[in-house]
Amino acid sequence: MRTLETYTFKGFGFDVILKDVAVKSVEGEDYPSINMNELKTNTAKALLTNKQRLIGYQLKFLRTYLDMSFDQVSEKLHIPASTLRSWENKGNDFTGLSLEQEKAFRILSINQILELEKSRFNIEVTLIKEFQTPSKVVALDIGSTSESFIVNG
Amino acid sequence: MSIQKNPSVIQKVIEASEKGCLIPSFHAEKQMNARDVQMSDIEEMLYRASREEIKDQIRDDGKDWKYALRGTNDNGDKDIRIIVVFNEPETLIITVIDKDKKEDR
Repeated sequence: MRTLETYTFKGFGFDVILKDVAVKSVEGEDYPSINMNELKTNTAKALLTNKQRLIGYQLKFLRTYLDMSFDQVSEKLHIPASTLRSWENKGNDFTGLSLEQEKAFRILSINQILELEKSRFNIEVTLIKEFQTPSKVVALDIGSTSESFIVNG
Repeated sequence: MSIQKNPSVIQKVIEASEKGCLIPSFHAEKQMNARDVQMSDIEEMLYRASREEIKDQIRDDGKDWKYALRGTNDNGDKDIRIIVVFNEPETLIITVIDKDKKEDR
């Protein structure tokens, strides 16, 4: 299996640069060995803390990742749903969100992500049947959660 | 000997999508980019997709089929056909076409 030092994923409409991506193959088709859910979560977090204004594709990515309808976002931000839709359709251009609206959208998105992660953690803890007590405490391996992506505008 | 088709393709693709295992091939990603189709459009269309069995093809290795699905995104402005290959644990998207685009009709 070969590995790409850097690979630019374009499937969200904007560039997301990934590092050290293994490449798999089937039926003569090469594809990146990635988990789309992890990629979405990492991309969403990177976008929300990115200082660059959101473009249309990024607004669409965040709204759909957080499973929010136009009406839900519209109600929270006091923007007509038709306006939000037209801003998403701006694609690679910046949205028409004002600074205050964009801040509000980002905070709304962060709260949604926290809620998602909270329920995920709750499920994981609830499903634990037993805690281990090994003779020697094992080091915590968090290598797989390292920052291996960059979001481009 | 004829190769049996999987009877629950749509369900299987939805499950793969929900687990984060629905991945576009490099070629499919280029098609998405050219046709302005994003992953969210594909994920949305799965829930109202139908099978296009006439577009199915036997895989080159002869072990299974390449399966065609077609549906519209939530906005209703993209009529998308995808062709998928099961390669556990992933489901690979190998073709993406927007039937609303003149060149894909």
